[in-house]
Amino acid sequence: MEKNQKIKIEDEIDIVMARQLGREISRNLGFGLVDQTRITTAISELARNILLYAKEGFIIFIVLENKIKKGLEILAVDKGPGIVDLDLALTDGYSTSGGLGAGLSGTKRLMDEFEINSKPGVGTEIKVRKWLLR
Amino acid sequence: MQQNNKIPILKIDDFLIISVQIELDDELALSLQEQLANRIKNSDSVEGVLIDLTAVEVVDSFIAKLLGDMANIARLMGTNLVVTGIQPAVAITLVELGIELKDVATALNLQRGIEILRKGE
Amino acid sequence: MDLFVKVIVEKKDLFISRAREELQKFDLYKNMSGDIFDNHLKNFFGFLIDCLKNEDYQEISDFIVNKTALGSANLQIREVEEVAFTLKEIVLDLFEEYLEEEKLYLFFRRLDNIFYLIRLDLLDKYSKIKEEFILKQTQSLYELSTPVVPVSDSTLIMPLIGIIDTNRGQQIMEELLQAVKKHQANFIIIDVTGVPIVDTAVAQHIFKTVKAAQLLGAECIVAGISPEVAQTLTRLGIDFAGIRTVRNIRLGLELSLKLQGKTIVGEEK
Repeated sequence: MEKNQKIKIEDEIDIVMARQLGREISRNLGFGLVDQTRITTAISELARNILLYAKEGFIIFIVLENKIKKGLEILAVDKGPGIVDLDLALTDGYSTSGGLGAGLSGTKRLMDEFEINSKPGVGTEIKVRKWLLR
Repeated sequence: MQQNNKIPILKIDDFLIISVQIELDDELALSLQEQLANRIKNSDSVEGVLIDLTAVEVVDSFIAKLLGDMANIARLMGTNLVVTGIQPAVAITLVELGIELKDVATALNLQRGIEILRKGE
Repeated sequence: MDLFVKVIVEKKDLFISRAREELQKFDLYKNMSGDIFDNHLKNFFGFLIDCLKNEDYQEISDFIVNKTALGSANLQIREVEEVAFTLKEIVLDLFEEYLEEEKLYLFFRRLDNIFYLIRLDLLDKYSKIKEEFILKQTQSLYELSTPVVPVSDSTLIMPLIGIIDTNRGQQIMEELLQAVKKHQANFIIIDVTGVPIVDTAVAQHIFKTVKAAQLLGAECIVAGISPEVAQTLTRLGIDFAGIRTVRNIRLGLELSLKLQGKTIVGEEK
C-alpha cells in the first residue's frame, strides 16, 4: 500500500472511485466496518462538495503511522470559490444547496479530527483524520 | 428521459419494489424519480412503494435527499413509501451525519415494510 | 574473544547444571519437562554469549519473552526479576576462581550493566503483554455486560450495567443494532438501572442508538433512569424529548405490548 494516493474529482464517477479507494485503504488499515462506513461516507460528502462548488478538485489519502497509533488522513482540495462564512458553513443543518449537502458539521462528526482552510476566490482545503483505536 | 434498466422497479402484488444494487448518480436518481411517478400513475392499484437498501453500503446526504424526494412524490400521488434494509453501519453513520430521514418511514426488511404498508400507516 | 566471555564459554556445563538446580526452585519451571528445560537453558546460554559479545540485549530479551515461560501474561513482574537475578548470580559465580579483585570488579560491573539492560527491555515487553491481556479482558467484560435478551418475537431487553465510556457506548450501539437485525425486533427496552452515571456523553450515545434503531424499524424504550440521573440530566440541560422512558423493565414490557395493541391476559381455569 502506497503512503499517499490521489484521485481527481471532476465527475460523479470519481466520487464512486474515491469511496471505493477509501474503503479499501481503511479496511486494509484495520478499521472496523462502522468506521469504514463513516470514512467512506465522509469522503462521499467531501467529494460531492468539490463537484458541487468547485467543479473539480482532489481527494488525497494519507496513511498516518507512528509508534503509538495509526490512522487515515483525507484531504479534499479545490480551487473553487471558497467559503465566505466558515462559521455559518459549520453550523448544524446548514447547506447552501438546498439540502444537497449535509453541511460540513456532519462530516466533522464522522471523523476524529477536522481542519478547514478556505479563502474566497482562491480555494478550499479540508483535512479530516480518523485514528485506529488499539 | 429514457427508461433506465439499471435499477428496475418491480411490481409484486400491489407493491412497487425498488431494490438498489448499484451506485446512484444524479442522472440515475432523476430518472428513477420520474420512473416511479409514471409507474404509480400507470398502475391499476398501488398499495405502497418499497425502496430496499440492503445492498447499499453508504448512504450520504445525496442519497438521503433522494429518498426524501421519492417519499414525497409517492405521497403526492396518493401512496405511501417505506425504506427497508438500512444496514446498522449505515444507520449509525446517518445519525452521526445528522441526517434525519424525516417523513420517511423505515423498516427492517421488505416483509416488515409490506406489513407496515398493509396496515396503512 | 575477550577473557570475560571466554571464561563463561568454558564453564558452559557448570552454568547449565547450576541453572538447572536453581531454577527448579521456581514454580514456573517445576512442571517443565527436563528435556524442554535443558533445551531452553542451552538456547539461553547461546543468546547470552552473543549478548555479552555484542553488548546487544534485544535478541536475548526477545527470546526470553517469546520462547520461554517468562513470556506468560500470568506472570508476576517480581518473578521476572527474581529469575533474572538468579541467572546473573550464577554467571558471576563462574568467576569465583579469578580472585584478582580488580578484574572481578570489572567483570561484575560489565555483567551487571548488561543484565540491567536486559531486565529493562524485558519489563517493557512484559508490560506490553500485560496491557494486551487487560485489553482482551476488558473486551470480554464489555461483551459479557451487554447481553441482549429476547423476551418475545418482537421485543428485546438490553440491561446495561456499569460505567459507559466512549468505547463502550460505541460498542453498545453496534451490538444493539446487530441484535435488532438478528432478532428482527420491533422493540428494544434499554435498561439503565445499573448505570450509575449518565452524563452528556452517555446521553448522546443513547440518543444516537435510539435514532439508529428507528431507522431499522425498531422502537426503543429507556427504562430505569434513577432520580439522581434524572436530576443530572436536567441540570445538564439534556432533554430526552422524543425518547420513551419508563421506570422499570416491567413497565417497559407493558408499554411495548400496548404499542402493539396487545395486553397480557390471564388464563381462565
